[in-house]
Amino acid sequence: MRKGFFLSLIFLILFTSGCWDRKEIDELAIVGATGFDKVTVNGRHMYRAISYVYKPAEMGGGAEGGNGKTLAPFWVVSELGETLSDAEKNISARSSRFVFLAHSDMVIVGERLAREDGVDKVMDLLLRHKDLRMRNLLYIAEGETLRVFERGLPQFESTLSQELAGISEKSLPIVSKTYVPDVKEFVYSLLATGRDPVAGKLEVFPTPEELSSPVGNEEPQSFVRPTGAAVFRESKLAGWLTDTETRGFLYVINKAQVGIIPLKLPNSPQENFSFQMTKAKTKIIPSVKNDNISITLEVKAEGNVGTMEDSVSLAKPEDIKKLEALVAAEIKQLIKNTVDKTQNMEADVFGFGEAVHRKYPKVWKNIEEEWRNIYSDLQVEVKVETKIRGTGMISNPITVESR
Amino acid sequence: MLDQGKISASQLSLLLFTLVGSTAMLFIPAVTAESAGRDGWMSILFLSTIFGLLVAWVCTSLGQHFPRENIIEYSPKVFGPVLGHLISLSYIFFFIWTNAIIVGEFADFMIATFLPETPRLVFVLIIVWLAAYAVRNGLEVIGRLNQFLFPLLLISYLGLVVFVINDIKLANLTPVLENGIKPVLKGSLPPSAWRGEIVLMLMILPNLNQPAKGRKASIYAVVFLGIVLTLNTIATVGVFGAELSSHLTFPYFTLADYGQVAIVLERMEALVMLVWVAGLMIKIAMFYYCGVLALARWFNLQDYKPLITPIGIILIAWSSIIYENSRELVELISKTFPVYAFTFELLIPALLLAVAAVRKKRGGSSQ
Repeated sequence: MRKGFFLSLIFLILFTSGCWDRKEIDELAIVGATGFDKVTVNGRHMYRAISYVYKPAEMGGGAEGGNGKTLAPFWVVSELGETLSDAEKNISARSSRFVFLAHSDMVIVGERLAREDGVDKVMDLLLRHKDLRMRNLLYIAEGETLRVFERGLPQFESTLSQELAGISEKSLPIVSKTYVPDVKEFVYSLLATGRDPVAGKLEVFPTPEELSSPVGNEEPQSFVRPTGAAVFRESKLAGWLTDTETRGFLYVINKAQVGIIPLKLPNSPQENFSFQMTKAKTKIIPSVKNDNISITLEVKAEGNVGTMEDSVSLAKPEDIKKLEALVAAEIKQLIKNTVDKTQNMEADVFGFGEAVHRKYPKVWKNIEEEWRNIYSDLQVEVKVETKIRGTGMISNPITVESR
Repeated sequence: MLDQGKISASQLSLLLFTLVGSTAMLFIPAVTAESAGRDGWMSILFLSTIFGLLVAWVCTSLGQHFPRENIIEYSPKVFGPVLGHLISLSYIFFFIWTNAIIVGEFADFMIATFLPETPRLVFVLIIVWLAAYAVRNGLEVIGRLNQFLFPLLLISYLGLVVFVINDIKLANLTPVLENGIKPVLKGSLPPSAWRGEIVLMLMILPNLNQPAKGRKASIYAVVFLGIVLTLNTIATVGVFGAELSSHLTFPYFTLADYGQVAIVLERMEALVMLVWVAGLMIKIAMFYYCGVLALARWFNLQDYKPLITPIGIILIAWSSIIYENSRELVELISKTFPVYAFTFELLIPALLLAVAAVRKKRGGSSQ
């Protein structure tokens, strides 16, 4: 018995120390964002993988290098390869530590790769990987991904991936002008029948400070911001949506939350009234009549008066009713514009096909093959009902009419 | 009787739950999504529950015919010595073969998800060694250990559904029965085979301290499993959609990986898996125990303990060669295993019961 006990202890020592897969934190290169590009080198198509690696030692702030220059708390490492996974593995050859993907926040795919090859092969690579979580956000970079990493300097946080993750998670919902899915959402739409995926879009801008400063700076300052959204036809990038078009999209997919819609009052030359969105709910109602498919969108939007720069009375309920009609017409137009644009791209980003499939599975069987054609001239009716709940802390506008 | 240990009816119920749940949880959503698509939950909730109830009824009826004997003991009495002993031998094969698959599943899962560089043999050795220790201590110890683990298992199974509740879109389950009932029937084969694993009752019913309560206990286990597995499948398809679910190798794990409650509770997969491994150990120990006990009985030994090591070695070797890659494993558990399972879980026990009833064989009080 005693012998057995000691034997067990020895076994425990052997087996519980986990010697094979031990990964100490100081032996990891923790990746914050992963990027992919397609490039042409000497006339040959190659792929580039980029890892945005944190340097925890420099993240405390104030760490200085030998020449007194502050070291960046991140390391952008990129490698070329024959295939995506080849390129990705080549990064490991550059890194002194084990490339660790479990804390990656986002995946960024270059425009050319998305347009020519499609994002499906990137998704296959990533989902096969055990460490990458499906919570990663998916952005498409305008131009090359490498440019985003190299030129996009974080403005507030110490690293770009933290900054973009923060913007995506906390700020985008209260602006409702851009859309970014996580990898799961994207792959779901990619695999679903009757739905095309949408990804986020990243753009590099010069900072306003840079624009106003005198010319001749050595390193031009720039920043990265999500704008609008990227529309896919199946796995390939079909085009972009602008900020306002994305808002129409957000209304349809029930993701429009808080934001400001600038509006023109009748008989006025410029936007001088803003509607502050608070919540919105949209129902997609497909209907089939004599082989004729149409979609009705029922939008219920609520909000408040954000600003009123014209001396319009807001004291009576009737005044509010007039504004509500105005807002409803504007939202309707927003949605119409987006629907038209995606119909031109033949990309069913709203999942109208899926809605038909769910309600009329028998009809869907016959039209599934030609859905893309049907979609491009599908009749979409938009009904908007708006409620203005309040006028904020003041009722009648402060504006003084000039005479 | 070789093992004098006693378990209560509630311990039996919990044992059967862990027995089926620990592996079914991991593979069922993907396997059913592959054949039944978004209607997979129906395969699990309705058809395989009916199958499970049928197995429970047959097994407990046999248990009532032969209250103090297990299948190895009474099958020669029912079918005559030659055929009866052959059937007993085939059951021994079934227990060890199934266990080899389970041990392999465990090792491959650990390699695929957590510890890719660790040699496969290490996982196999550890789990079989642990199970061997449990088997050596007998059924009573396994039952009590499982009783202690069960709340944790339940929290991990149902907690997972809570983790992803914000991401579940029930619309992903529509349209219902798009391709008719046929895919649902086809999809119900693997989960039925799983649920039928409660056939291990044929070996452990004699150890029940109140034999009359066996039937109720097994019915509870089958129905409760139906509910938990259905919730799990609905959560998986609700989050990932039927297409993506069928692409995933381990949907349950991916779900745990994806789950997030508020921003505080995320990356819970390691905790979920910790509990899962414990449940799996119980499952392996149960099959191991039945295999060892059956073989000892078959050879008419006085003690089953000397057989633990040889069968453990067979398990280790067999689980290393039973399939060559993960797709072969999926084929094995979704296509081949059901055939064996239906034979051993329902066909033979039902035949035994019918013949025993006709020939009016009843187990006397052996002691």
